[in-house]
Amino acid sequence: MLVKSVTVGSRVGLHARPATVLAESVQGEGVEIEIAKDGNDEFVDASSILMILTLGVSHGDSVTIRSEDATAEQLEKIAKLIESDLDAE
Amino acid sequence: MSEILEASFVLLEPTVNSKSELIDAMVATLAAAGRITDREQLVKDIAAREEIMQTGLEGGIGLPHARSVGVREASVAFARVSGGVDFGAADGKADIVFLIAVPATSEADHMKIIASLARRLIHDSFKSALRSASSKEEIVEVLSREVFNKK
Repeated sequence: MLVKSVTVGSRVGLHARPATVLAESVQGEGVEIEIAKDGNDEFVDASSILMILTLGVSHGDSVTIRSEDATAEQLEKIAKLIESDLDAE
Repeated sequence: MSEILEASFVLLEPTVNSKSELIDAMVATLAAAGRITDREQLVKDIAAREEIMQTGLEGGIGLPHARSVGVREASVAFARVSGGVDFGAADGKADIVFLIAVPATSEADHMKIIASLARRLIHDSFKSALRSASSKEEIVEVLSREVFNKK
């Protein structure tokens, strides 16, 4: 199991566009990646926009992503995405 | 403080032909109750958000939303449209739509409302309660109990 902790870079947190971009990217990788907000160990499916929204993640929050079947590169790619400002227009 | 959702903000089976017509109708319910100061601005802000990325979620949900200077008080409007309206979700049209309007200054409220709604929307029982409710009051009752005014 690969695990990685990242800080959310999107100004609006992980909702709306950032949540959608994240979910679609995870879908695009074709592997199972889960995400949890730190301090709350409930991991949810990171390929679902709705599940990401349930976390209520704001800008600057730390989240942990983990996967059984992703490669280190794939997890890194998703981590980078979370760290970037996905809401930048 | 007023309730975030009132029966007059609920639309059951409105006659609308498009997403923008539905959003207009939902915003009108908030305007009628004095929740917004600038209706045009709010519609514009919601449309801008939809343009960046549509707000359809899996399972028949639409979640148009905006933080807007046109909003006086955080409010949520609800619509059930059995025919479905396209909010761009991969799995099809939305028949349950929540429109979330919060003042430009309250980012935390915005997140809190969306997260608490999402936490209920993952449960099929919650969605079926909304789909089978027969009156506006019943919708408000379900949403108040499950989401907005939980004690």
